[in-house]
Amino acid sequence: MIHGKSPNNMSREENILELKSVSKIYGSGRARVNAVESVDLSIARGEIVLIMGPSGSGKTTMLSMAGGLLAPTSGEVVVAGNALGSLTSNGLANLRLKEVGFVFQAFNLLAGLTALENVAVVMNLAGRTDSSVERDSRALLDRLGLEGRLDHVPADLSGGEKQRVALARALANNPPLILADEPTGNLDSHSGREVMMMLVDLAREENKAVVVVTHDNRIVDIADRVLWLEDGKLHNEKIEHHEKVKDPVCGIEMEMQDAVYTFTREGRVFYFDSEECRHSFMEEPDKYL
Amino acid sequence: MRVSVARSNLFSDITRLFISVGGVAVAILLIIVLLAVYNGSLRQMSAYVDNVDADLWVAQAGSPDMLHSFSVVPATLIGELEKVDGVSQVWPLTSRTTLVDINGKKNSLILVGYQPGGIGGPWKMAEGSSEPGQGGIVVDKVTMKTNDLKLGDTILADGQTYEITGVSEDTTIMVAQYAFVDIEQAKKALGPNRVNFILLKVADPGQRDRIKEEITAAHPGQTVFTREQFSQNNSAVIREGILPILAVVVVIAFIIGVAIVGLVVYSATLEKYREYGVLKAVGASGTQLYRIVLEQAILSALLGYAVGALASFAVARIVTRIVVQISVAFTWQQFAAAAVAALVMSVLASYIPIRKINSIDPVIVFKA
Repeated sequence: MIHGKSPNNMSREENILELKSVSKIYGSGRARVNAVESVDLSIARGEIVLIMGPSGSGKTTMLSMAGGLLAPTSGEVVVAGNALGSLTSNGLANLRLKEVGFVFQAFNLLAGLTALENVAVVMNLAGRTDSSVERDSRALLDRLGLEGRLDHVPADLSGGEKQRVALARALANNPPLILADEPTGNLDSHSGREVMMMLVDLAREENKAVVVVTHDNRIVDIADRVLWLEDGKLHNEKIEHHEKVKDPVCGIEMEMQDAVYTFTREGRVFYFDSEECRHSFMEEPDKYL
Repeated sequence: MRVSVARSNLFSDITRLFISVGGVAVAILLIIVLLAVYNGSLRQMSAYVDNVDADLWVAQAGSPDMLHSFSVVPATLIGELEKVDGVSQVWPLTSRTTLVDINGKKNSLILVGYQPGGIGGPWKMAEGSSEPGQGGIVVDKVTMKTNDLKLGDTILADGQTYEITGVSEDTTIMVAQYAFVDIEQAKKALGPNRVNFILLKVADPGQRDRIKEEITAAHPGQTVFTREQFSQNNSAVIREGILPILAVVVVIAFIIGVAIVGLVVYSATLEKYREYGVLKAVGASGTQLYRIVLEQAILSALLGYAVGALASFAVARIVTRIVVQISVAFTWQQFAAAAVAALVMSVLASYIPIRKINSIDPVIVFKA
């Protein structure tokens, strides 16, 4: 376990996101899985932090807890000074609406709404319905280079455009914290780079705290911090695992760091060479224990 | 700027919109037309009493209306009633439901005998004379149409042959039609010294109740009804006999409406399940999500209501042309009741979709 401290000696008050000894456990007994274990993390305004790690390492679980979508089994999550554990479901919804902007791998735009409406609807949810909603939505989309695509529905937009609309939606209520889950996962390399640079700009120019869960190495050099999550534990750097492991299903030998998936059960870590092998394991785990 | 996710959901699938609006429209149409038929039947049943210009009706005790029982009043009573203080006019009336064979087809006619120049005759004519005269008969338009009759044709009723001299309108009830003849001819079937009812007009309407009580006290073998009472008694057969059946059909139509809107909104909710999850994830409260579902259901119901209400006029027109005995009467209350039914439908229809939304885990948004 490591403590991901902000680099600029920012005070506790300036931290937008704090995870204090946060753990998430799924299931119990033999089926118990420690998805996230005792993670401590503080992220301040103006900071962009990348969280990397193999599939199944707990990145999305951690992001869900940071955004108030999932309650931790133990520990505390604080967003913009609000301890999430003390909030009601309506309080949590309000916090997500005003303090957190989400960007998803699958864009998750509302299919029946235009780009402009996808942004405006989030402002509506925050109680704004006046003419400023259209003006501000247009301004956000213009800024992200979508001025000619305002009246297009998602089906008529390219992947990169969709993700920029999603980014505008995340910024609709001007939240201080942006949480992005694999934002370039469904994009070509050019669009992916554009989106990543926009996220960097948000941190640098708009003083927002940006957390990006990604496999994308393109902004590793310009991110303030790169953290490595593996087996639910957060590390300061990628752990190189040169020791040999064997896929329990497909029988393929590989270096530990080359495993595509890992899975921990009853204290044992299993390494998989492919999704198919992992899938077979998950269907009948007892066969391989 | 306000973005309506509900409208977007509803209009994104035209087939679903058509089913939803069509389903509600059929339910609303059924409710409005059934209520209009009920109302029309009520009016038919009381139309005769409402249109005969009598203040009081004297009937044999135990005969509350013109259809359930046979009232026989001695004709000698006419002279006695003429002497009652405040009575300005007295008119005898015979009324007998009889089965008439017209061109080999059985017709149920309410054969009314009234005194020429008096009250009790037809009040709205389609053609011919309203006074049948000796040997003449005024029949209802429905009788004319269903038997393919024309003026001058003859009808054999109660052993007498009548020539059709006039055709009346609005003198039909679902099970029979009125026909009007001279009372002297009608009495041949009833007997010379008997009538079925005696109709009174009073000089001062303010004295009506006093006169009614006075006659009742003096003639215990008779019952005296005000026009309103007798009208109510005549329509009671519909209220008490048909209303419960009608209520069952209206409730079934309502349930069908709820089921259709419910299924359509539920399927739309399932289809947009992930999008509801997205809205939940980005901060929509439970109330805001419920409002979207409710708005969708209300939109469906209101559109269905508009279509159903408009279609009810056309359907009523077609029904009354096909089944000429039926009368429909629209009132604003029926439309108001149907509007309330549509709104209640939409609220009930939202219940299960709202429960579904409640169970959405917003973490689904992270699944690619």
